Amino acid sequence: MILLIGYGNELRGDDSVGPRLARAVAARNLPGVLALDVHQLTPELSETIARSARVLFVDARHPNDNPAVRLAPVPTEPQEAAAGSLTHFTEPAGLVALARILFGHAPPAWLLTIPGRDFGFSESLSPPAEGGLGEALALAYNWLAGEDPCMKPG
Amino acid sequence: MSQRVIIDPVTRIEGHAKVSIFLDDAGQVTDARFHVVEFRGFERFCLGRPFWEMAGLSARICGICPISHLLASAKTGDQLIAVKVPPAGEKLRRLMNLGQLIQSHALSFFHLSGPDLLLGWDSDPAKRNVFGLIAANPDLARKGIRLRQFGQEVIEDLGGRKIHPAWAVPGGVREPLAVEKRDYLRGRLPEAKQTAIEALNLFKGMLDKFRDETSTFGNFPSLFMGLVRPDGTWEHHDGVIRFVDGFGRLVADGLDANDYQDFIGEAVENDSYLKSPYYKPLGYPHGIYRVGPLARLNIADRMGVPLADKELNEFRQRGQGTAKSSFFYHYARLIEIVACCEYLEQLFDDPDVLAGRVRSTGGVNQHKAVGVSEAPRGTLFHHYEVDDDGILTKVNLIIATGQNNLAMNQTVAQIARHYVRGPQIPEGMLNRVEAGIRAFDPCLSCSTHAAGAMPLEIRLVGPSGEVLDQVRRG
Repeated sequence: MILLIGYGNELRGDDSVGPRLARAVAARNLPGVLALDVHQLTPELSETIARSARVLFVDARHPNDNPAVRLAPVPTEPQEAAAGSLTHFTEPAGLVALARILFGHAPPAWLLTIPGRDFGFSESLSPPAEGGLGEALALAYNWLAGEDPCMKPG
Repeated sequence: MSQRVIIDPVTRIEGHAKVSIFLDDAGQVTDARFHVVEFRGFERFCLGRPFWEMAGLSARICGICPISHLLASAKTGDQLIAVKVPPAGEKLRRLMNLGQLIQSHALSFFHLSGPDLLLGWDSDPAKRNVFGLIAANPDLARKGIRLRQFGQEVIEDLGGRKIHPAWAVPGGVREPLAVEKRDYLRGRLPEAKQTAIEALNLFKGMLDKFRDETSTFGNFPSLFMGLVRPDGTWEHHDGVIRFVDGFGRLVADGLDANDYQDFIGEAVENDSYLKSPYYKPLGYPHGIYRVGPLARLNIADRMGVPLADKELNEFRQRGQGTAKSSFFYHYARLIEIVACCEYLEQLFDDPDVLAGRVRSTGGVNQHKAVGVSEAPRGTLFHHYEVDDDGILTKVNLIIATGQNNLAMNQTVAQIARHYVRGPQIPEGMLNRVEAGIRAFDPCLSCSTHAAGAMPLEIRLVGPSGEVLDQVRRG
């Protein structure tokens, strides 16, 4: 099983890109692919992660100095994951580490982030986030098809 | 015409709990206040909306227990349209509330309080969290995660999503339960029940270690309030309201939620956005009462299911009758998880839960109604008044954490009296105050592990109002 997890608050504007992407993928009913749209990352996802061959996390991010859609590997070694803790704001690295510790398997994982502009109270996307979502979908489908995820390093 | 609402709080620390401890001239603790400084305003900005929207709106008050607001709101709507919910709809609502109780109580014990209880309050705060628990006891942590996941699956399989499902509506629910989902959940139940029993046995085995905490964490007589069935059996969704005192004596029984204003007053303090409900006949603040798992077990004559009934008997022996220590909230929560599992067993075998007719419909037939439900943290009231078109003209919500506000103040004061000796805040007190608040599992618990510890500010205030000492974390 290949797992895709899109997460974010759908009442906070561009923070909804992750769940929107996940639902778009889910609607295609790709064989062997499980796409989950969730409000936030929680420890309960660790078992599903452990049962997966590989996992793609999808989230919005503030653009800061890099306005591009970014795909990067998630650290899975203990020392790299230590910074992520299972708190109110769980990070992908922490969940992957949890999958290994509790369920015996940490699959290769990547994080796809889409730059957003507007994170206020809204149910719509800003134009940059709309554009980023389209680009990210294409990247996600390539990743799901097994194409080299390092084509566009973060 | 658009309107601008200006909110100007006196004090505001986002996401933090703020506690003030007051000393007299002799340096003795006279009072403590737990301030909630997060302003929500739901009761105001819902006015002018159709009451049909309230289930979805009020569910967004909280991300931990949106189901509780959904159900209380739907029950209020049932009365406004004056319909009887079909048996399947009623039972499916019960199923969902049981799932809600399981997932919330599991979160509280394994993720929020478990690290304190199992790793110790004086252990390194950076490790005193779920990750530390995982390192210390991975088997327990795994089971706890799966238990919470089971509760969430009940919610998701019924409502279509884990958080804010748009499912309970006035008149019933939107969708029946598919047989394959019922079968899946029924298959997961034995493991959930076993985990609940193991956690309960583990906690009971540790109780002797917590004598100090049992005696200082909010150990005082108060009233207890909650729902019971008319025959006095533990209830989580419907029933009548009962008050008992700190010695188990019946104070009021068989009360209708629609008459809540006769027996619940709401005091407002100028240093907190949290109202302080109290039992009206005894006045404020003597009418202090507690709600939630501890109260539900104290007021009930029985749990109504065999394993939980056996545990209730032991609970009463250990608590010496009516358990007064707020530390016993942890114990009560675990018994409730066991009870919920047993009730789920009954419901999953009930053919009614698969019936197709799950909703009754109607227009506005009443202009005022009060819906009540037991949220994981305690009794929740939704009071709506509407015009002929169903537009809300009044909204009042009484939430569980608010009803425990006075008790949380007393708990903090009691802990402070035990630890404060002079004008400085001692090292161990911060952890204990945090743990005392966490016993109530207030909604503030959501923010307790943002950095491995509850964001918390404690001030020690002298007799002239001067701040003698202050510590802040997070």
